[in-house]
Amino acid sequence: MIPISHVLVYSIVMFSIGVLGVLIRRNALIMLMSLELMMNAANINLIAFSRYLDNVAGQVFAIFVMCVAASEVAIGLAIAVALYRNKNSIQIDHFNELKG
Amino acid sequence: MEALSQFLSHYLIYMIMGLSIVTALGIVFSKNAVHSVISMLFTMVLVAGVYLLFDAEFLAAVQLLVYAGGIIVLFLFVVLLVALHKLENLRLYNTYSLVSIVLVLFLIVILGATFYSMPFGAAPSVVHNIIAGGSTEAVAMSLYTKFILPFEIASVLLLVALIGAIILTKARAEQ
Repeated sequence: MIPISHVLVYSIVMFSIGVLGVLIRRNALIMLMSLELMMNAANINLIAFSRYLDNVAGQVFAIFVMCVAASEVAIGLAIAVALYRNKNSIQIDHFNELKG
Repeated sequence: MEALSQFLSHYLIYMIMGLSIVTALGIVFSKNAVHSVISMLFTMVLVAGVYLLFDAEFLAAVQLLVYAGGIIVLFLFVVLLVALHKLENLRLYNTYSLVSIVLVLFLIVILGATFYSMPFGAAPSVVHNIIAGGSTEAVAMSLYTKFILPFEIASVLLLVALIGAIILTKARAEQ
């Protein structure tokens, strides 16, 4: 098995790519995909520690994270469709009505 | 056979990790949103491979079913539903993208150096609680006894998400 510090570095790289996607893209759908990437990075950590500590609770927790991610995507895409129906755009900086 | 097992446990996982980082960058930096979705599909399949190499084959199967089977199709559906070709001439990135890239690189260096220098022990070669080569039984046992209350709460959460998605996208008849 590879050392767990390598897995941690890999997962922080994946998480940072997700953060980068949320920060720099203007398309709301790409931002949602980047959120999924961040959740996957967390799952990789959970499963790697589950293997290294020989404890199955990490895998169970990863199932719950996937459950929350799936419902989050369903709601997020529903909001994206509703926004597109109202404003004919999903560029995130076109929605600035609440800005003072 | 020994060489193959050494290869599988060591080099294959590094190859999968590197490939998945490349495809994850493809999600963020591709111009066309459909290409982003395809990159995400490859990323999810490769991450399922990582799970498989950590003796979590049930989680790998769930990852393939939920992400590659469900969420990717949902994303592709919405990307094709909204007319992105009208937005092609717009800017792709935010104004302060360079600052964000520098900050994220800083985050990678700081957190990566911290995690890399942590004195974690080596992996146990023999695992007992998660049964290597068949962890589905152990996961199910834990999920249905120790974690039964979070399991029920997760089912309620999925129901709320289902109803919420329907209500949010329902066409309003009165308007």
